[in-house]
Amino acid sequence: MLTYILHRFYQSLLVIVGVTLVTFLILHFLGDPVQLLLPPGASAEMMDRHREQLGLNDPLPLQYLRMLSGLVAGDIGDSYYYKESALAVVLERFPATLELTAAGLVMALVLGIPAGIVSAMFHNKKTDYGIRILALLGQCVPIFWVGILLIILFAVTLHWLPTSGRGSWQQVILPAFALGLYPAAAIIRLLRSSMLEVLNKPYILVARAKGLSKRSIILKHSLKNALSSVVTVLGLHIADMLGGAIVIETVFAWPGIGRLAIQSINNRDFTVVVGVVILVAICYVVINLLVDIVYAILNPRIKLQKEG
Amino acid sequence: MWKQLRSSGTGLLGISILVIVLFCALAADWISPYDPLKQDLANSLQPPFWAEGGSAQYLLGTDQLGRDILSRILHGSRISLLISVAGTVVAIVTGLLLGSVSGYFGGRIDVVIMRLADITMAFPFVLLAIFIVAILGPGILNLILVAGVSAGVRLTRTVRGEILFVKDQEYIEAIRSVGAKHSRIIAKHILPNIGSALIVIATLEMAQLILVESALSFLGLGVPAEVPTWGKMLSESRILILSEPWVSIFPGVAITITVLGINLLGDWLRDYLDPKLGKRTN
Repeated sequence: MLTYILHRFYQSLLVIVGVTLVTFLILHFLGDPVQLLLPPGASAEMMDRHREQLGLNDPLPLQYLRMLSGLVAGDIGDSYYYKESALAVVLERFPATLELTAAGLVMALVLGIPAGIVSAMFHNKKTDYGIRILALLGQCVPIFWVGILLIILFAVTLHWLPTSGRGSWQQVILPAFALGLYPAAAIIRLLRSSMLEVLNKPYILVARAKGLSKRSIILKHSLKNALSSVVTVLGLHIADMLGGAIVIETVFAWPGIGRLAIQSINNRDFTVVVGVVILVAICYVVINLLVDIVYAILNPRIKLQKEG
Repeated sequence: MWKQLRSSGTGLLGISILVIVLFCALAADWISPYDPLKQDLANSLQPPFWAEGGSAQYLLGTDQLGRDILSRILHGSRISLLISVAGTVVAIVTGLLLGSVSGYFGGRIDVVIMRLADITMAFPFVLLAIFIVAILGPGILNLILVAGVSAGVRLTRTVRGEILFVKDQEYIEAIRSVGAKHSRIIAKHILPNIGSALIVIATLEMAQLILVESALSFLGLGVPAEVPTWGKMLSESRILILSEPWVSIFPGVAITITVLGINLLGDWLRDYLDPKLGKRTN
């Protein structure tokens, strides 16, 4: 187990270094930062001076190493719009995004797990069909549109909840619902199918033959086994939700890193955009690492060779 | 295949939706009642025909600039389909190329390709697209490339996995022993065996790409300003949700129905082409 975790840790570290390298290369090959930073019409000398100042005339590997050491020291350069360390700007907004993602995750679990269980228990009954149709639709609607519809219904028409912003618990409900809908739909479909699969296994038949109640069979035997597949898929969805948060934050004016990234693109403040990209990518890698470890604990049969 | 499709309600529904959307996209110039860009400020914010104050002149009403919403939705289907179809083609080419090299040859090149895939997958797609579009600027070609490469990485893993399974089968061993070239083995004997899995996944990726395109347009990072897209219509209507909420309804319905159509078709294809997979989810 320890070897497996160490191996995955080492791999994740490699991916994070790769992420910084790719970010560096994209920035380098797709645009001249000096041209992006300086106002249009800046003189050639001014550009040269800036290039020299920023160290852009040094060889590429040296520039990359400088970026990497800066990153380790927590410095990726200053935001030219906020006039302070870009990393500080990003980290200041990060808790808001984490809060939204966590709330979305809770929403996905609260909606998805009971619905998935009910769907499996009432296999091929009307309830099952109803839940399956809702789950299918949940995977087809654009989440930002769900956000808009929620605002129209609960904020504008019914006046139950606020339209936007962050601060009170009421403000997190609508964005969390919009963000949690897609993973909830995925959980329903996955939980339902893996529970049905488990229900056909011989050991469930044994449990039934022993005279255990249907409820105890479903909760103790079938659900426990089906949940491990949910954990794996959930890991992937948490990471996707970080991406989805970018869109949802814009709809609900939620002050997180997604909205910051969009604003920074419009301000042409690329240092901040780079900060957001790297931070989210690191989160993604760390989440996947944690999921794999949890999965290995839940499912001891897992072998190292699963990884390619 | 046609017979099975007709007997499956959801598959038939999916393909019907797609045919209708495709027809709208191809015939948008002829069937749209108005020019989607034509502004008619005297008639701005007309409600749809069944609502109070609406008229048959503008069936789904008009937006704040008096542009006909129906015509804009019909034209918007073009961008959605173009980007998702072209993106999927790019994804299939990328996935086939990298996946077959990685899976068939294995060894170092496999490690390199898989690590590259890990790195690409560490960027949430929307963020990667935002990053690229921010630097390259908006444009249909940029969107297609970003969408295609990102979806292509996921396809690469599928293709590789399938090839790893197929290449150890005895018949491949037999072909190799009579001296067939690698390229011939891959093209003639391996790819046809993984085709069905590829088609299914590519269909589901296509549905994702429609959602992603609409999200990017919504964020203002998609296509140039004058082209009507569903995502952009939703973004422009956001200031109206307090007073004229219907403007925000129809483009979202169009996106949802199109994605639903593709997903239904994808689910049906999976059951039809790959019964092993189908059993798990049905």
